[in-house]
Amino acid sequence: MKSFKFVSLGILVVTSLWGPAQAQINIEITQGVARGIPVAVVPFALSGQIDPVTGIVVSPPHDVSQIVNSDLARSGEFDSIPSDRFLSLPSKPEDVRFKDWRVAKAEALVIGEIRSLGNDTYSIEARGYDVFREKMVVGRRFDEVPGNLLRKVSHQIADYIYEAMTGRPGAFDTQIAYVTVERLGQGLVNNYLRVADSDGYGPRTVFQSSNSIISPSWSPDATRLAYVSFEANRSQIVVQDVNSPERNVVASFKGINGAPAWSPDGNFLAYTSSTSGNADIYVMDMTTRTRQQITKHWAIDTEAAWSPDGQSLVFTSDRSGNPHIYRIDRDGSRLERLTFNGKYNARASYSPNGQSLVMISRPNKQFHVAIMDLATGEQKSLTGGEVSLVESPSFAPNGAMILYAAQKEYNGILAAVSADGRVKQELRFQNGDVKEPAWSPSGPRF
Amino acid sequence: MNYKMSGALVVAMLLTLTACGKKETVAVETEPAQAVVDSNAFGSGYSVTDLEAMGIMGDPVNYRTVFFAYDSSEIAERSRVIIEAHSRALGSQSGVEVTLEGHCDERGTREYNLALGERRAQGVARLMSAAGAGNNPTQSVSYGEERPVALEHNDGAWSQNRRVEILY
Repeated sequence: MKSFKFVSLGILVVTSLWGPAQAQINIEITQGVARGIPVAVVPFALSGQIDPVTGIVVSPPHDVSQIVNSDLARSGEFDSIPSDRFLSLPSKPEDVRFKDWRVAKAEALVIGEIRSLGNDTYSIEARGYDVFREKMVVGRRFDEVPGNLLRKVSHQIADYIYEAMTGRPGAFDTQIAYVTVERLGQGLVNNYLRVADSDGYGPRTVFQSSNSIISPSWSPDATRLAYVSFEANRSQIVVQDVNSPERNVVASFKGINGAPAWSPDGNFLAYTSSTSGNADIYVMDMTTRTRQQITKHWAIDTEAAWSPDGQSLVFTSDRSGNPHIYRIDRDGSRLERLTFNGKYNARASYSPNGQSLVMISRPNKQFHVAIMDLATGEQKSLTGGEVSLVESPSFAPNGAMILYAAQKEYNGILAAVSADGRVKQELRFQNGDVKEPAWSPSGPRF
Repeated sequence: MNYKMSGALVVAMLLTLTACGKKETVAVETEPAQAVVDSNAFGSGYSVTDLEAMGIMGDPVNYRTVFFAYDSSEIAERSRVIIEAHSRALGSQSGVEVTLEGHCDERGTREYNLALGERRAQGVARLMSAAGAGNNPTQSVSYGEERPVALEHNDGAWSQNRRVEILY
């Protein structure tokens, strides 16, 4: 609770220091599962402090049940039942009549209460029910939630419902980082490194440059981003606090400095450097800043990503003549080639359970987002002709969705696809090219 | 035997005469100066015709960009001619700093392209040094696919973007 208040303060500071929040991002499902879990989210009952001017209960700045409802619907794994089919509007457990929800064809039911405590603080109770089993599967109470954290709490409620109904943790209470490119004409551009909630709400700029920004990588505690900046007219790796303008150049060695990737424990940063003459993988101790060379080969070695246990790295190398994915132990031993199909496999990263890799593959003329089962070595394309020039795929922390960048109708867009390829989403931005997305790990909960 | 020898000699003499005759005819029809083809135009080791066939009009040193094939850092003949021209020019300007900027097209991943751009720049740097620019401090910088000159998403734009720029 205390650490949480600190986080909220940080966000407030950023908003005021870095100018107005950008317009909201619209996330549209372009392909959903044939049938999601039918869910009824009943508008939460409001009680508590009365506004002396209007004479009604002070209403919270964000509509909690609405946020829960859109999170679940947006995942593509739930079908939201419209409220005109509700036969009752329960907010307390004793008011739930399961027969009403069987009639409405709901399999999941979400109810709740919000109590306005005054001073823009609220207490929230939320419950989730499995209608068939007539059983409460989620029961959560959040005390003294400040108004500016209502969205976070709403996403957490959606996470609990998602997990109870699908068996997998939710990833709604997360953020996405990405880069927006604004073309000013005459070859001049503005690049903005931005962070938004996973539902696209409240984008804010954490760094702006007239030069390229690429490869943002989240620290495991979701408080810092490492990225490559060309602000000094060459590639450098910068580590920046997401909630303040504090930033440090951590790699500016001779040659290229690229592809930063935080170790799962947050103590190390894998990166690409060509100080030895050509691109190799290195690991930097973030406390002592000592560096260790992991690969040593005349070919290009780059795009390192850590295994979830932190014991090994996958990376791209063209040592066979074309870029392919290799795996190596953290100490530089036991090198192993992982991809053999086609002539282009690059930028692999692990699924959170460590069982598969997502990468960019070029099986034919087109680049695809592909997923590879590490046990069988089988590779499957998740994207088709609907987008081109796909780049930078990253898993949501629950492993359900993969976020990536692509070109569509001459614009850089962000899109997401479920790991089984069944659900597809597009993130719509108001203007500008968007690229280099990275899904944050799950941060601390309220 | 002797007879056969002299017969061969006669044939050879006849051939020479024919060749001379043709050459004279050409010389009469065009500018007399072109009678001698400069096989080392601008010191390049190539004739003007050969340079033009490579798309190099005039002195190769006026070109500052060399291009590459997809996912390749191999230096093409045209590029070598241009790079060597700059090496010769720099050979007499010892100490002039040279920056080689490596670039890629947008296909493939950004980080792989960052490394590929550097490999292209380093390849040009090695050839420049070997060809006489060894006394010039040379810096290779890669911008990967971050600084395209052509913004379209097609083969024409991509071939212009896969390049090393020779700056000094």
